[in-house]
Amino acid sequence: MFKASLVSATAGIFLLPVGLLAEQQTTEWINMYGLSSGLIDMPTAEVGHDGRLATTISYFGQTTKTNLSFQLTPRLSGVFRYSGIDGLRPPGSGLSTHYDRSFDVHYQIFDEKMYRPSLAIGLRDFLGTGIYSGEYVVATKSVGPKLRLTGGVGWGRLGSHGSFATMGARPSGTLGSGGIPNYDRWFRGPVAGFAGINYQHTNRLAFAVEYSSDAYVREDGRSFYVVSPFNFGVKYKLNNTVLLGASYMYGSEFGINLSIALDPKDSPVIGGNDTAPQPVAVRASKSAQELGWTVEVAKNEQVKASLARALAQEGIVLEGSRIEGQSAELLIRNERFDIESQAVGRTMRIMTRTLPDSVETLKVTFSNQGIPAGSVTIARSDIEALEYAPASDILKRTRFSADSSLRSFDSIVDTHPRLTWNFGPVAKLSVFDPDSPVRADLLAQIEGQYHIAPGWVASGALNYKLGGNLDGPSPNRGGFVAINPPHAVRSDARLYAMGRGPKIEHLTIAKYGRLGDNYYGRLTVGYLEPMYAGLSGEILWKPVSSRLALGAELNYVAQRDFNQRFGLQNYSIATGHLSAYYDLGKGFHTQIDVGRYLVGDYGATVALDREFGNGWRVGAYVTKTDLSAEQFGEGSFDKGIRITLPMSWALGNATKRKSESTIQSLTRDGGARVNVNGRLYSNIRGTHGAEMQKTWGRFWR
Amino acid sequence: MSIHKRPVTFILITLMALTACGNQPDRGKALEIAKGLANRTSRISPTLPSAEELTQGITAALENTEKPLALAHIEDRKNVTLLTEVSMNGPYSTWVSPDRRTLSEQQGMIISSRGLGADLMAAKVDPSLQLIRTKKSGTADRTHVYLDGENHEVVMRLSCKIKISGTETLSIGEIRSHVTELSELCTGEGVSFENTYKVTPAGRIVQSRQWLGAKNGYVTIQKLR
Repeated sequence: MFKASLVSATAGIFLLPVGLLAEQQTTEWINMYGLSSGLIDMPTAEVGHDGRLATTISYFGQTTKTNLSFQLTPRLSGVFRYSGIDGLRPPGSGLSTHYDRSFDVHYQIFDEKMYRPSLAIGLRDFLGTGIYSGEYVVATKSVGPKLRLTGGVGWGRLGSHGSFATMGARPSGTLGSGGIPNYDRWFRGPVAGFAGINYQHTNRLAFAVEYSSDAYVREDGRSFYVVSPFNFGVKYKLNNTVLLGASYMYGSEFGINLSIALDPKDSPVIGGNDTAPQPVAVRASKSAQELGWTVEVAKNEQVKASLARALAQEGIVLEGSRIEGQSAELLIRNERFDIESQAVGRTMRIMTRTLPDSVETLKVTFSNQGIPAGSVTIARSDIEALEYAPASDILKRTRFSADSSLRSFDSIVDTHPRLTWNFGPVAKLSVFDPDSPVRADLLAQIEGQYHIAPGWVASGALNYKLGGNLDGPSPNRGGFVAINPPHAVRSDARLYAMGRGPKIEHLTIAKYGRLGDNYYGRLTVGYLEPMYAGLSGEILWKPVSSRLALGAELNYVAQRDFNQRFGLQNYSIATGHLSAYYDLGKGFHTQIDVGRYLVGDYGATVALDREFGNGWRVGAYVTKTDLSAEQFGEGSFDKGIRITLPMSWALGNATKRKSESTIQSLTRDGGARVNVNGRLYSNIRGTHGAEMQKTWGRFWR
Repeated sequence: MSIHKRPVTFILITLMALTACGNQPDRGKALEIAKGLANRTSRISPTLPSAEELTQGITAALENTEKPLALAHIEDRKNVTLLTEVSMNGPYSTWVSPDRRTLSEQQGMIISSRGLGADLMAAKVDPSLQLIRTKKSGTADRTHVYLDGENHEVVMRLSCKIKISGTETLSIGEIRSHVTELSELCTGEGVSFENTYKVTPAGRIVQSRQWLGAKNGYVTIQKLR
């Protein structure tokens, strides 16, 4: 009876024009599934703030869900979920917990207007085995500033309780070897209605009640008992980052919910809290004519030395210079500033303080492993005149180019040869496996780079395992088994993790170079990565103001011994890719690689990333090759999510350190690539105008 | 094999985390990261000096240098610092604190800060400055430029009302002058603030309380020379 009255109340209010508000329907709240929703287990038509990245851990009825959600665009969001259901045994496995990975998408079709609710459509767990598989169409309407009413219809899991209609038959088999969109199931089978109310009591506190259309058919009686379709929840916002929720679920269980939400568009310390830059030194008028210093060799050397000294204080290394009567160009290695425009600004400020007055044209060129990449040229008088103006003013007077070569510079002593090294702990993680949430090894690692001459780098890393379980039983014993699988090029990772070592992580010699104005090259020889040794060559075409870059990479590699010493196994292969990189604008970037992968399979990788102006990146990729789904095994083809967290964001001061993580589908052999250090694109791109202009606001910082 | 069964290894790990070493830039900063996260903004001592300590400090500073000096107090940080003028560029000058944070002004009116976090990147204040220096009431527009979290410039447009609010005699450091007090009430989209200035008969701003931005609040600057 309560059910009927709730549903009719919800329906009734949609018809009432009293106190209706047309507000943008974003919500801070997150439900048990990691979706931006003011309800508990059910979706709404709300969305999160654009760009929000949130981790939500929820627990009820012996089920733990760890959700990672991202609001990719103002209307489109995605959730990756790793859940563990106690009491539900996966078929053919000895485990007492069913671990499952699932992926959802949610799209708001339109936002609410005065008399119209917002409307959204969503697919839950639309890839793979589909334990949470369900689809919905949902509408949400605000009534006054505090109340939001939601009603929707669901299929699959969301059509399993109190269904009022059936739309065809819903197949239960999995397509391929899992991991393929289950489009044959979408919006098919029994249909049921769900509804809910969210009441925002204060800015921090909200209450929700909902009528769920999920009968929990699999879990009922095994993990918990479903007594009632009503859920009651209270939500509390601890601060801008942490959200808490508690609920009474299905008439029998208490549930909890913890979300940590980040806004990559914002920074905890905007602009960073690094110390102030050097003020610009303004020349006295007329002093610019004096050129007498150019013939004094000693004076020239003195200028270079003081430039190097002042730059070093900013974490910038002077690798080369050319100082003439009216112009000066510096080749710099920026070791501190993750936002390159800030490094240019600070270098130019120092140039005004150090260079003789006659020098009018200032040019700063970035070094990539000793080889000149992008350059920035600004007139000294513009720097003097616009020091206190917005950075957009100086940008109009700035010229970007990439026309310098090593011949443009007199070298600076002490920059080559040089050795850099580091000794410390390294963690190797494998998370969200189908039968183990976290596996990890901890290693002691010593690594070093010997910069022999500009463009020549010898690099190595040696490690020793302190402990861990990466060499534990092979993952996914209960899942799909590949039929006639290819040679194990990646899937025997645990064999590489066995034994303590010492192991040679990599040991290479690389040569970097410029092959023309827009062409960059790299050649690397040696033990490229823990599993492969060989030769890797790359050419990149990247004009300085272009959104497009093209690359070609060719590798000839042999599989290394499991003990990661100098020995090789009897498997070698030529692989290679043609790559296109394109900056789509508005913070989106795509990359397409077409070529031959490690087992000799041909195919393509497509990646899409959202890039934020402070270094955050959130993206996803898929690789499909001509290896069949049966041969590939569980997952059918390779795909993953990747996230880059800039350490400067967390620390508040400039640093080039960043944390990159990839959540991959199972490591399989199809669509696998060689890993090699020093790939060109990301290093070159950051020094080019097209990229640097996006964060030019930091020039004067 | 699990980590928990190996206390020796565990201790070794902890030691390594503390002792990670090398000469690569930006490496081995786990501890700093932890510190940074715990202590993002408040790196400044939370105690204000007493009036006596302040007077002693001012006297000592004036004796030690011939350069222009000023005292600055950022209210939200409960911190008083000495500023030295380090650079002049036309009507603009930059003042630096001992911990290398700077404030820049255009003839006494603040136009930028550096190193505070959420810095004021630039400001256009000519119409206000004109009225303040000539001690006239009136209205004036000003613009502030800040960065957003993605390092894009964001322009804040403000319209301000300037009023004379009184006169007094000011005596601090080497400054002894009859001053006119003016207030500048500015409003913009979602913000409003009130700056106050004390101006000498010659039109020099010798004391002021000015708004830096939403994060940093007000700074009081007292010229000492």
